Amino acid sequence: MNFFKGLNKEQWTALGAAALSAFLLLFGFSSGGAAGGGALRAAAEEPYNAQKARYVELPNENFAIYWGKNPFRIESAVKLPIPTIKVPEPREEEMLAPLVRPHPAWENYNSLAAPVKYPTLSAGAPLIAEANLPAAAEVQELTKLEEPVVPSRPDRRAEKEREFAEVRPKNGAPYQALKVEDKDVVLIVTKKGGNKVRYAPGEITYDQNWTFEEKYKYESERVKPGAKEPEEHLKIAKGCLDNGMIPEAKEELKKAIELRKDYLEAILLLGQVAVDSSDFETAVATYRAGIEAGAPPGDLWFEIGRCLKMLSFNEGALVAFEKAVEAQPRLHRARIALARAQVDAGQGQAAVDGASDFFIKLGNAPDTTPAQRAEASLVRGLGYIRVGQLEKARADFADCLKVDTTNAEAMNGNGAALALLGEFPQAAPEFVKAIRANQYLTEAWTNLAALYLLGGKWAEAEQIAAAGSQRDPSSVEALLERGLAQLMAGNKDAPKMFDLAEKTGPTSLQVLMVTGLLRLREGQNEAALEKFVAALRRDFYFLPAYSAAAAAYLRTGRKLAEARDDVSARKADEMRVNAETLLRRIREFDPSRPGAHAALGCAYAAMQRPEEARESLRKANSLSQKGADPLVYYGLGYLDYYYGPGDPAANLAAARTQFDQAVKLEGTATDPFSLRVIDECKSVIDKIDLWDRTSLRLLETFDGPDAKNIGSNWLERHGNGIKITRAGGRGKFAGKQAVREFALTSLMHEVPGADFYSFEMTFMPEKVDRAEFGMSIFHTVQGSTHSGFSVGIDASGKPRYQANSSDNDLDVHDMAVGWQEIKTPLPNPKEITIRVTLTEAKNRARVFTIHFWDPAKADWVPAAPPVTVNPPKGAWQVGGWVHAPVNHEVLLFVDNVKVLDQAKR
Amino acid sequence: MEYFWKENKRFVIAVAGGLAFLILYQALVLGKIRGAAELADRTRRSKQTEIERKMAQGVPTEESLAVARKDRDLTRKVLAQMAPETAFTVPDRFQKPKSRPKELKEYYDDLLIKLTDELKEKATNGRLGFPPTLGMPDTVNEDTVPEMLLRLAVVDRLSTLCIDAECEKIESINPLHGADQDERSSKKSRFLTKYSVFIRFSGRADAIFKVIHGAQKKGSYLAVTQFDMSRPDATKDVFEAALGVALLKVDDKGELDAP
Repeated sequence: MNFFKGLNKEQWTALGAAALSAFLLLFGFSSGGAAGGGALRAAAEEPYNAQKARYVELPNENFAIYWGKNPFRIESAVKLPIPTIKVPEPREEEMLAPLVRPHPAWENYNSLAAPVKYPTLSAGAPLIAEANLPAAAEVQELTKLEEPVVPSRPDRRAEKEREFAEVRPKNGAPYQALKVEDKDVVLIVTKKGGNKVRYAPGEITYDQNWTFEEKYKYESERVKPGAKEPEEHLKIAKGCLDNGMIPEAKEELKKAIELRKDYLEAILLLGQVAVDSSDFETAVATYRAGIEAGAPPGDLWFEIGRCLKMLSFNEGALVAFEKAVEAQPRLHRARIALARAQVDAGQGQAAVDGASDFFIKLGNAPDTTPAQRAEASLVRGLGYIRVGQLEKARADFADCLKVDTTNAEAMNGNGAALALLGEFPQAAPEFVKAIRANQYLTEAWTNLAALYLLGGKWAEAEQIAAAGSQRDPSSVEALLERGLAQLMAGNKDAPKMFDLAEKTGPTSLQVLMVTGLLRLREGQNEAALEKFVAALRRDFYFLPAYSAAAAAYLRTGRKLAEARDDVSARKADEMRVNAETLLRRIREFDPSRPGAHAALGCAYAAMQRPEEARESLRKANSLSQKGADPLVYYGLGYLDYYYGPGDPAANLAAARTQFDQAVKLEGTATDPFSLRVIDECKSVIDKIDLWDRTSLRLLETFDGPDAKNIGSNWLERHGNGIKITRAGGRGKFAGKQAVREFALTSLMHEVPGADFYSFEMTFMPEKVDRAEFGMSIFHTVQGSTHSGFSVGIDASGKPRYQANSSDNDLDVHDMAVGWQEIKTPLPNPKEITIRVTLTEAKNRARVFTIHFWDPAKADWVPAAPPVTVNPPKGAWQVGGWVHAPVNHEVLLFVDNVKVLDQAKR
Repeated sequence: MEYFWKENKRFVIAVAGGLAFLILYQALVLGKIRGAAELADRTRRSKQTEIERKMAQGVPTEESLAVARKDRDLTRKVLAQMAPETAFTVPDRFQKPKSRPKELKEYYDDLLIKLTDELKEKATNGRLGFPPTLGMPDTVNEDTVPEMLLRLAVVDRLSTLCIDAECEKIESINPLHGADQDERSSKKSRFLTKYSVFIRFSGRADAIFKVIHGAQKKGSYLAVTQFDMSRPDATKDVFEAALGVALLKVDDKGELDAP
């Protein structure tokens, strides 16, 4: 306390401050606020969801109370697998109509704006109306055209110029004498009476009465050597030629050429003599020798070209004409011949250019004749056809005909251009005129025959083609047309004609195509394919060969696919890919061809590419100008059938609509292929309807491990020594009939009878010595007796049936009494499959019909006449049975028990 | 200065002493208290946030809490009742024998071989296709033997059911189905322990359902946890089934799994 007493005022103040500070420090008032609780935000009330009441309920020990009715029972009308339908096949390639000639290159033809391209022959659907073809009388007239007599040059060496020599004395009247002999210094005249008179040279003039040979010898011997000697020999040669003394003429010409190796006139004449005797080799050798000797080469190359042309060596001729033009640019005939050779070699544009060049350079030249201009126009017209400029070609042919009014080739060319433009009525008269102008122009005959074929006038076509063939037996086209006319008319000789055409022109595009199509129709797909491939090798742009080859590939593929092994399936796929490639190529060449799209759709359908198939078929439909094609509807139906988006029933319903569309075309689509497709559509519709109404009531295949128990829902009747078990995936009846004679052992199944359609079962008897077995449809029940229709095999292996059999009967005696024998033999006694169907006959009576399965035919064969029955519709029993004499062993297998229901319409 | 010191010596010493005491008190006592207070404040805030989040979904009322508590009590009763109903009475041969660990393993191996032979024989007699093995592991350790014995008991039960039901075939058995998931053996006892076994088999529809029915029989109850059934061929009465069952083991004192 003294401490506090000693404090002064300031000290008290300082002590107070220290105490306050200490107080603040002690209670933490120095910094920060006290921790305070923040108020919670208000929240909604959470309702309580009471839990479901939980309890324990174990299943009842008795399973049967849960399993009164099997919800999965097989008998509950399972739909059958949908029936198989044919994959769509492209429209059968129709027989290609013969070409008109001259014809554009195929590449140009494909892009031609013609209304009808690659016309085909079809019976009953003529492309040209009869009225637009020359009348039958005109055809008769044409075929009776008399062939002109070929002017021959007879050998007149033995003939005399005159009977008697004409003697004209200077001093006296002329007279006729038997002979005048020139003895150099004296002329001895033998008079008619035989007297001889001598004259000095100059006293008389005379004309000899030699034979031409004597005259030739005289003149030849008296040719005087000198500068004019070659001309003399040429003159003698010409005389010899006039008198048909060809060897002498040749001899004289050779002498002339020997004397003057570049003597052009003699060389040309010698060459011509050789050509006239078809000795082209000598002719060409003569011309070549002349060229080597320095004769003007233009003419000689031209002649060589002609020779080669006559030998059908077009390439050589072309080269020769080129050399002729090169050597002698103003040689008109060489220029024209060159252009012509170019046409023949398929160089249409070069020919047009060459002929046009002729008109530019030589057209107005003074030495150019109107005939040459006309020929140049003709050649250019042919060139224009080749390049597909048909109107220009027609203008050139008209120019040609202005000058050369009887030029058959121009007339024929004009007709061909018109035919290619689809103006058939105008084309036919042109061909007739051409024939009349030059009956040896085979093209005119074949063109006219082609028009008759397109008009469906087979007889006239054959007559015309035969007339053409008569004038040119080597004409492949004429032979082919005759064959086609015969084929279309149903003449059996057609194949012979095609064989002849094939021998005459084995590499002809048309021959390859026609023979290929015939092979295809005969089902020789591989042989047909070879032909079509050869045709394609000949001309890359020949579209019918593509589609035909594709058809052959598809058919080969389908055949291979039927083998159902992996290797064949792979090959089949390859074939389909090939077909698709070819068809795509056609589509690329000509996207406006509906047939190509339809065929491609079929190929895609076979290749299981449904979307592409649909697209192609729809495209085909939109491009078709002939109206709807049943094939397209069939294809679309097929795609809906197998690749529809819904369940099988919905898909089949959609497909049925498409097939119906095809059937509606029955009145308009009358070609054989369309009719076949429509028939197929009808058949598929029937199948769909049948499938729709049919369901599988029972199918027992006894699959599973071997077991004493045959399976659920079977009603077994045994106890006589024969046991029924399941073995090897089959039902097995085995054992010794031990208790009594023919006591029945049966395996039956209940089925409802209301919609019963068929019951089938397979029996495989292993050991049935004197035993009988079979199947029954017990539709009637009286007390404990079931009765109905039965089919069985008796102890001797003969099939029999009984319309009113019962299990009680079968339990006591054999089939000897009351059972009808079935005359149809069992197709395979070791595996007997029997089917009994219940159908409605025409008179609305219901009939049971027995069928046996024939494995060779892969089809059911009716075994016995239908048996009229009137079964009730309650619960039926179906199944198999066996019985045997006592102490006989039985081993019988049964399998594939199938019951089908069919709802009434 | 000297004068001041002489005059206030006692005062200065007293004040300085007091101040030193206060500083030490602040550092050693108040600092710690403040730190703990801050921590408590942070915890409180986070809890507050959390409870606010939960309350956003709703707040139970007293009434609903009462109903919930009633439900809980009922469920406890049901559980107590269910446990014996769904019990699987493990046959003696599948009970863990009172033997040394090494003998335990041998016992399991012998039982596995014996049971396999027995079931195969029964399957052959019953015309049932049986898989070559029961799918049990070849080597087990002593710790897992009791569990494997239980799983073996389930396999035995299922196989016998299939044979008795006249099934056609047992395709495969997986006795360790789910063992690699939440059924791993644990020393810590749980309220509910499941031992699942999976079996693929085929047969008629009634046979399949007989198996399912038999599996749920009182006393040998197996919970059906998975079932698939298909018919490969619609025209045949043969089904393929995939069945998963679980042996349930309830321990009232065991831990309940978090929901």
